[in-house]
Amino acid sequence: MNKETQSIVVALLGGLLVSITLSHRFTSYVKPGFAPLLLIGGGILVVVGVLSLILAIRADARADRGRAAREAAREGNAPDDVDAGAGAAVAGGTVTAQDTGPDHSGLPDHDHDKSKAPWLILVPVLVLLLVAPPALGADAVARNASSQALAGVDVVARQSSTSKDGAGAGGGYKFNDGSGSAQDSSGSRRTMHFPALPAGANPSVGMKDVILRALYDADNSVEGVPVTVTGFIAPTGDGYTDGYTVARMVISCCAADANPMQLHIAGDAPYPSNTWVDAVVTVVPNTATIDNGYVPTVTLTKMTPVQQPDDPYEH
Amino acid sequence: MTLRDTTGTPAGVDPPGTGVEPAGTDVDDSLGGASPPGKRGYRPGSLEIFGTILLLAIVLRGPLARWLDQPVMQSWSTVFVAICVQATPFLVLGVVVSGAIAAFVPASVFSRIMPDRPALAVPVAGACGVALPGCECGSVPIANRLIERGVRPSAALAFLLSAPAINPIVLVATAVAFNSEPVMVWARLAAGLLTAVIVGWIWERIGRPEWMKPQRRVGAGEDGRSGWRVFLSTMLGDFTQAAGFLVIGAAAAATFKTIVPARIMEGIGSSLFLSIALMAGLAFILALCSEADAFVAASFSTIPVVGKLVFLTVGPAVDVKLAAMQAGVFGRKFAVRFAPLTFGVAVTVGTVVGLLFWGW
Repeated sequence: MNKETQSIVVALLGGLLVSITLSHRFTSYVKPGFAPLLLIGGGILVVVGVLSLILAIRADARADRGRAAREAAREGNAPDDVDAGAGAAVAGGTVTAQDTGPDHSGLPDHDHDKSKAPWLILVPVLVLLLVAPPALGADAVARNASSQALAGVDVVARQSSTSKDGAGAGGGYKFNDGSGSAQDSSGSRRTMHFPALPAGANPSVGMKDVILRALYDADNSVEGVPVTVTGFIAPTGDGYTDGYTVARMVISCCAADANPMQLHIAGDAPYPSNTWVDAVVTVVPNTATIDNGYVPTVTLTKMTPVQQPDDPYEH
Repeated sequence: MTLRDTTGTPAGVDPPGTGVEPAGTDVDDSLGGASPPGKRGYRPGSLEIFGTILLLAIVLRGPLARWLDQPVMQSWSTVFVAICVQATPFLVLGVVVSGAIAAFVPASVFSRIMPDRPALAVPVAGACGVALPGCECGSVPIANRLIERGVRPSAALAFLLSAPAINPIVLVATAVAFNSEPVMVWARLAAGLLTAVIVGWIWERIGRPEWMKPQRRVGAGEDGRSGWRVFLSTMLGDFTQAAGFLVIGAAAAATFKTIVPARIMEGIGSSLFLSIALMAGLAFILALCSEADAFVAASFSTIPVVGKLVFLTVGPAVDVKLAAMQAGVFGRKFAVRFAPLTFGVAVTVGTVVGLLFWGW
């Protein structure tokens, strides 16, 4: 790939990064905190690409003029090898210095120009431009499902160290059953303490928050209390034979580390998979067990389809 | 403008994924050759191939979109794009630093500040890794530039390994993720630095220059070019080279993420050795950014903490994405030796440091 094409590809990639950031499509791939990084990185790539393109075109124009001058010099002399070489050296006295100039096309760079690797940059560029992959959905839920007590455990670890009994859960050395939380002396896993739910009827609560409360809250703050969660419809998970799932992916950095958070609902799904919904649900106590990957069952009060949220993931 | 004459662009480029075979041949196009430009056989330059790929992509957009619309491909392409998008800003940071070194820092600076004795130079370079606030993708072009600037390869490689593991951003992220296990930050610092230094020392003994691709020299003002032009041209060259291989790594990691079920994590925890092997393997194939891996490691609650430390030690030092980038930047002969060496040392150091910190 030569300098001109490299410059165009780099500017294209940079422009694409800036554009997915400004149009908020980037939240399908990375966490929102990446916005300034993407803008700066993309901006630098655009500037580098455009400046390199200008320099490469100017160098080409000079090289063209240089070749014309050499041709002229050769025609003036007898066209045998020695003289042609000498002519090139004479005419090129200024020329070669220039055309190895900005585009650095001297011998050492040949190796670099020959590289095919830069062509691969076109793959993500074209995928983004033409297909624009959506945020991870129902397929990824089934694919990445594991015990969701594990998925929430960094929060468990963080909060339990500040909770009053300080059970030192999660990050601990001791083997545990995968529940993500050490048990207290009475054998209960409900060792965490959460802030009060937002006021009002059917308060909006994050999917991860609801599940952590359902699994670990010593104060049972979501038991019998209807809450509103936002997620998408997905097929039911392992350990359940009927019903369907309302799910949301949780990421800590980018979609490559996504983990699903699921709530199980009995009955037939009212909407197709991947439909985003606001659901008013009430957790059924003690339905999350190791056999169903700690997916609690909820009873559904109301479900309304909604637009995909600005940030499709929780964190 | 003529594109193919001056730069000697190869015709045999193989554009990925499109199956376009350019009908070019390797015509000798030495300047001042006997054949006048008009008689030369047509061979497409990069721009023509680029245009063809774009045209084909637009024409084939429908079938392409349908193919990528299957659930599996959708998950794959989202993860693939996510890794690329996430890594690019850090790669940009890396090539800016690399370009600045090439353009504005003369080689003499490094020979002055680096100790002459390799036994000392390696740990000094390793410790310098603290100063680069990025993740692993960015440090590859920088290490390459340091070698080109006359830094011993072993020292530059120690820097390459330590920078992504022990810089302040990564350590803070680790502290946040392992709130209940604050010792993890120190264990990670120790294991990351030790891995870098030990690999550097081993490379000093066994490394041979011919394993590495010949360096292209980009002089700071040596050939009369202005610093800014060198800066620009180095950034462009380094970025396109490293980013191409980053794409290979991202594709591999996305494939593993899509086909390896997450459930294999469960039920492993009881065996220390099994969990260490599993975590080392996962760190290699998941290719997480070193700024994010602590959060993922913390969520493996059935894994003993030593296994988590191995995950955090192997991940920044060697993974599928890094191995691809190293093969591209330093050469394949280098990568097939360096990657297994690093992997072995990182697993051993992670295990030993973990056992020292937390006991058996």
